[in-house]
Amino acid sequence: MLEVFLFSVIVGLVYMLMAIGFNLVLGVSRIVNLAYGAQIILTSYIASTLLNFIPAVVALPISVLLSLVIGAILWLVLWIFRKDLILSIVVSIAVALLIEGVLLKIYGARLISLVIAPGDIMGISAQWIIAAISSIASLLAFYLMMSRTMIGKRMAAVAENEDLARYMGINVRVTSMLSFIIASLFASIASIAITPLYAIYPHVGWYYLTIVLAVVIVGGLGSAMGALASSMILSFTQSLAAYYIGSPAKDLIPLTILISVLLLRPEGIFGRGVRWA
Amino acid sequence: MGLKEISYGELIPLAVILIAMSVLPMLGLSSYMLTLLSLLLLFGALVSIYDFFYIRSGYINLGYTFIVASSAFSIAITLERLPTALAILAAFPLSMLFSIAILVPMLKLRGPFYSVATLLYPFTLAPIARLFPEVFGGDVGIYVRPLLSSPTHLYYLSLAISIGVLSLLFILLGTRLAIKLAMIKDDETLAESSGIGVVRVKILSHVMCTLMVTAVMIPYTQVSGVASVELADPMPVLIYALMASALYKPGSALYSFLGGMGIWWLDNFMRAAMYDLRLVVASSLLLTIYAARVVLGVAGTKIRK
Repeated sequence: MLEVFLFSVIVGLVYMLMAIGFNLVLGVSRIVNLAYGAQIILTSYIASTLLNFIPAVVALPISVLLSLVIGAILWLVLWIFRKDLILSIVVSIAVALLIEGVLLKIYGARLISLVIAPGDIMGISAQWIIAAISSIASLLAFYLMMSRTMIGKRMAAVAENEDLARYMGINVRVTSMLSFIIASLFASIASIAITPLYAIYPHVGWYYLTIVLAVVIVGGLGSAMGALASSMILSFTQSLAAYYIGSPAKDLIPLTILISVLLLRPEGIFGRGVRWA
Repeated sequence: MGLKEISYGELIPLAVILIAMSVLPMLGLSSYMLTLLSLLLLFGALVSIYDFFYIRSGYINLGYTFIVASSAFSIAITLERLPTALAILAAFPLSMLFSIAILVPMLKLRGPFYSVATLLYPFTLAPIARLFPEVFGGDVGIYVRPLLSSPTHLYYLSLAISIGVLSLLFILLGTRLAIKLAMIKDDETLAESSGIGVVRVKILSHVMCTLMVTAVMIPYTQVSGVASVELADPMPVLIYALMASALYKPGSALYSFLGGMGIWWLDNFMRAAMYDLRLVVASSLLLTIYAARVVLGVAGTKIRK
């Protein structure tokens, strides 16, 4: 049972990391990036290929860098369609399918898994420890960036009031692109952290998207405490459902929680009345 | 008859196509070809239903495939347990019951929030089917009891239902419902303050949409022979519906029907010739069509006034 508890905490941290990237783009750029799930798995696929040729210390940073470049291109595409939110949603779905299609063409529908650090440290899987450390370090770095640096303050200003931020001399376009790149970085780190725990296949991006949406919406848009609480709630309920009921129940949990919250409290459990409804 | 948006001249090509399609079985086409053409007609009908009820109202329902798949399951489930006539009658209220799940967020949410919420519904079907394999048949789905053995009869049933759906949509285009849906798309709050019962319109349009989809899915499940969670995937129904709707005059139902048939034909070609590139080509096409609308200045899903 201790293993289930530890595993749930680690997976919850990774979920939170994923959700913060999505939330950042939504807040700063006002883009609902439904290709985010595909972005998450993309890094793992790139890393799995590079690991065949070069050691992990080199392969992982390169795969993250490549994912950031793809993230910047994706920003450019979605920025063009940003004026019409519905249009940008449809386009982001098209991009998600495009990434899935390319992955299917190259890798096929088979499951892949990353093995970065085999073995145990004091009885705990080294992969779990790496996932926990990388998630905590990223979340801490994000907190410091948002509270201590000019970039963070600019992002907060754009998220608060885009027009006012523009009058204050902030380059909204650059800030938006930066938010997208940082979100892609979080997606990449989350990808490398979670793929050793759960094997992936090209279609699984949609599953991660539902997780991200569940964490963001259940927690409440823009609420860090909400994201932490909802990612833990989600992770623990999933683990317990898988343990007591079976794997299909695990997949149904995020959707059930999400749809229930959407219907009962669309602003989220910790939301402050901010909603699109 | 909705002729402010669709002129009689524009109806002529559609009438010619449908008349030509009605004589096709007399040319001695193979069973395989008749099956393909049946699916082509039914797919066109599914796309035009989506175009009219969702693109027209601005409620971009990304969970449309949930309605399609649950209608298929309703038909398969009732056919498995009841005599034919009763089963077909019972399939309609059963599919209504499923689709209320989509109606509830429609009444509470708007715009992107509604689209994102509805996108999640189709993904619930696969785990539900795995949790209750005795009802939904797991990943494989449920076998649909055949009602018509001859592909020619099935083809004519598909043609009749497609013409029926199209005729109904054309009648609806000239009614107050079509105007109200367009007004809700323009400004829901203004529509409400103008005395339109927005909730009533949404419920009515959703009920009509579900009933029409169920009618289309009766021959569709007969042709495919199975009702499975695969139908809930965004590809092909949702993606091609979004694509066909954006081709020309969104919300008109006519061009989406023709576009839907054309895109389905292309999909069929891709399945046969380059299956592993199908997703790449389809998503690139979707991107191109929407990018072209932005470049041409007709972005979004605007309806011609």
